[in-house]
Amino acid sequence: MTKLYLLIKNNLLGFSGINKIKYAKSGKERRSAQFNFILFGAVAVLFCNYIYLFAKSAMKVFIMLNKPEYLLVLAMLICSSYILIVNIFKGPQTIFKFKDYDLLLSLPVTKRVIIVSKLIALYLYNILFQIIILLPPLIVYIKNVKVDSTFYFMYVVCFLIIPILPIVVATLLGTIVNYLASKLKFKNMSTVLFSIILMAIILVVNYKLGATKLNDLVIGQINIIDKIKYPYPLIFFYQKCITEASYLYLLLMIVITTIGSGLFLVIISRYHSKINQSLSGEHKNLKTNYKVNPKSRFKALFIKEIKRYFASPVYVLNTIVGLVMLLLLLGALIYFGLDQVSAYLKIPNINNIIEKSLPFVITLFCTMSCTTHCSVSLEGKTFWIMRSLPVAINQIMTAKIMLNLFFCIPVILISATILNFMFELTLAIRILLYITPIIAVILSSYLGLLLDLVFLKLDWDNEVYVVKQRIPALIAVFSGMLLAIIPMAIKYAIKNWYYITAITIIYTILALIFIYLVKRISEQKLNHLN
Amino acid sequence: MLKIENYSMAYIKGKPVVSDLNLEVQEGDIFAFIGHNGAGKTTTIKSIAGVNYFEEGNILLDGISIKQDPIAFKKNIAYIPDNPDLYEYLTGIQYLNFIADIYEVSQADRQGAIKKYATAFDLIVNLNDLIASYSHGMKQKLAIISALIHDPKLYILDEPFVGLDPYAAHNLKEIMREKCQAGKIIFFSTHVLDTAEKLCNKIAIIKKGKLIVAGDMKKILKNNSLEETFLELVEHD
Repeated sequence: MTKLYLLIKNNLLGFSGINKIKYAKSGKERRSAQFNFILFGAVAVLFCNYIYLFAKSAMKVFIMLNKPEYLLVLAMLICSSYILIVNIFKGPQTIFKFKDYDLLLSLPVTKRVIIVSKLIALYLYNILFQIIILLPPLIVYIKNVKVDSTFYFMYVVCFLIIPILPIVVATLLGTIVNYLASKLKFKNMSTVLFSIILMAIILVVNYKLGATKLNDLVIGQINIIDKIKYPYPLIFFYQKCITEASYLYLLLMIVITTIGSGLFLVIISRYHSKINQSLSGEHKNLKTNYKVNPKSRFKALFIKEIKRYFASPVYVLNTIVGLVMLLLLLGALIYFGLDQVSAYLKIPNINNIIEKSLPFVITLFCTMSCTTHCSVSLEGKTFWIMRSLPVAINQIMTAKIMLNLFFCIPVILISATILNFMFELTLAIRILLYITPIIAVILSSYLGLLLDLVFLKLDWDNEVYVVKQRIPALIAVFSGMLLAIIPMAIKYAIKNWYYITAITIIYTILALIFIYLVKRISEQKLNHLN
Repeated sequence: MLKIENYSMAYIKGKPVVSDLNLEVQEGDIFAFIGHNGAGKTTTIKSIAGVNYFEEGNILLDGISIKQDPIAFKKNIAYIPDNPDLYEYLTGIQYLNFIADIYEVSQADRQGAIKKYATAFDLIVNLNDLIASYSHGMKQKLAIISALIHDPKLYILDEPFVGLDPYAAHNLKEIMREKCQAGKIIFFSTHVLDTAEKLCNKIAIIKKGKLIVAGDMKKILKNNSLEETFLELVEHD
C-alpha cells in the first residue's frame, strides 16, 4: 500500500508541476510555472462559467418538461463521452508507453501495483476534468430542485464511480487500436486510420443515442434514458440513484464497475509486458541499400516537419479534424445536394446561410484546427539539434508554418472551386472564396505558433499533453473558430463583397502583426534558451 | 583556432556555473576538458555548440563569434551531446540525410562519408530502421556519424565514449587522430582519464566553474599519470 501511495504521489508530482513551482532552479522558471497554474485555473473558471450559463438555460426547458434530472443525466453522458474519446489516446500512453517503464520495473514493486498506480493517476486526472464539466450543472440543479443529504451521498458516490468504466473501455479500445496498428508496416498511419474509424463509431453511436440532438430532446421526441438504458446502463443506474435514492442501483453500479475494472486489471497485468513490447516495437527493415538525395536546407526542414507530423497519431487526429469535416461536408453537398443535406442537419435555410458567408464557412473549418500551436514544443528533448545546426530560427519557424499551409491550402483550393461551381456568385465573391480563407489560415498558423512560443514547453513526458491539454491548444481552437464566427455574426445577412473584403484586410493586418511577433519572440526566446 | 574569452555562465543570476573561462585551442589539437560532475564542462560545451545562451564573454572560431554570427560559426562545427536525443520518427539514413542537407553536403561527399563511417561504426545494416528502435549505443554512433558527415573544422564532443562498444570506441579514437592530423580541432569532455591521457595533446581541468590548469598535456603531467595529476590539482586547489 505504501509503495502504491509512493508511486501515485510520484505520478501526481509529475503531472501537476508542483515541484516546478516549489523547486525550480530559477525564479523565472518558478514564476512561469506559477503563471501556468493560475492560467489553468482561470481557464477552468471561464469554462465552468460557460457551462453554467448553458446549463441554466437548458434547465428551464427540462423543468418545463418536468424532467429536471435530465440536466444531470445529460451532463454525465457528455462527460462520459468526453472521457471515452480523450482516453483512447491517453489511456494506452499512460498504462503502457510510460517513460519510467524500465526504472519502475527494476524496482521491487509488483507489476500490478505499477499498473494500478498509473490507472489511479489517469483516474484522478479525469476527475479533475469531470469536476469542471459536472460542477456547474450540479449547482444549477440544486438551485432549482430541493435535494436532501441522500442525494449528495448518491451523487458523490456516482461521481467517483462513473468515470472508471469509460476510462477502462477507452484504454482497452486504444490498446487494441495500437496493437493492431503495431502489426502493420505503417504503424502510425494505421493508428490514425483506426482511431478515426473508432472515433467516428463513437460519434455516430452518440448521435444515435440522442446526446447531440438537443432539439429533439427539448421538444420531447426523445426519452434519453430509454435510448441509453441498454448500451450504457450506468447512466440509467445513475438516474435511479439521484432521483429515487436507489441503493440497489448504486450497488449494481459498484458491482459492474468493480467486475469490469477488475477484469481489465487482471488481463492487463497478465499481458502487460507482451503488449508493451508489441506497442514499442518497430519494424526492422532488412534492406541494406539506402537513398542519398540532397535537398535544399528549407526542403529538408519541411520534410522533417512532415515526418514528425505523421509520426504522431494524436497530433494528426487533433489537427486535421476541421479539414476532414470540410471535405466530408463538400462530399455530402455534391452527392446528396444542398436541400437534402439541409434537411438531414435540420438547419433551415442552409442555402441562404452558406451562400451569404461562403468564404467564412471555408475559413471556419480550416482555422479550427491548426498544427502550429504545439509544433515547437513537440521538438522536446531533440531541440538541441536545431540549436546546434546552422539554421536561422526564422527558417525553422517558416517550416512549421508551411506544414499547416501544406494541408490547408489544397483543401481551400478544392473547396473554393467546388463551391464556385455549386453557387451563383459575383466575380468578387468567387475570388474572395480563395483569398479570404488562405489569409485566415496564414493568420491562424502564426497565431498558433505565437501561442506555442509564449507557453513553450520542451520538458514534457507525454505527447498527448503537448498536443491536446495545454492552454495554446485550447486558445488556438477557440480563436481559430472565432476568426470565422465573429465576421459571420457581425453581419450575418450580408452578401456584400465589400464587407468580406474589409474582413480580409483585417485578417491581413492581424497576420502581419503576428508574423512580426513570431519573428521577434522566436528569436528572443529560442536564442536565449538554456 | 577556437578561442574562449572571459566566458561566464549562470543559470540563476548571481550563481555562476562557469566563471571567467579563457582557453585557446589550436588546429590539430585534441583537447580534453576534464572536471568533476557539475564542474561546468557540459555547460561550456553547450555554449560552444550554440545550444546554451550566455551573456558574458565570447567564443570565437577563426575569428567568427558564436554571438555575432551564430550561423557562420555553426557551419564549421559539429556537436555530439552526452545523451543524444535524436528524431526517433526518422530512420538512421533519413537523419543523416537531414543533417547533410542542412550543411549542404554534396551527394558524392555524403555518399562517401556515410559509407565510410557507417561501416566503421557497424551501423550500415541499421540505417533503414527507425531511430526509435536503436539502442543507446547505436544512437550515439549515429550522432557521431552525423557529426563527421560535413567534415567541420571543430568537433565538440560531450562524453563521446559513453555507450560505445570497444570496437566503436577504438574506431572513434582513430578517427579523432585522423581529423587532428588533417588540421581539425577536437574539443571533448571525458571522465575516462586513461583515454584522455593517451589520446590528447592538450588538456584543461575545471573545478566548480573555474579553470585550474590548461595547456600541453606533457608539460602538465610531467612524469605523473593524468589521474594522479587530476586528483592532486583538484584536491589542492
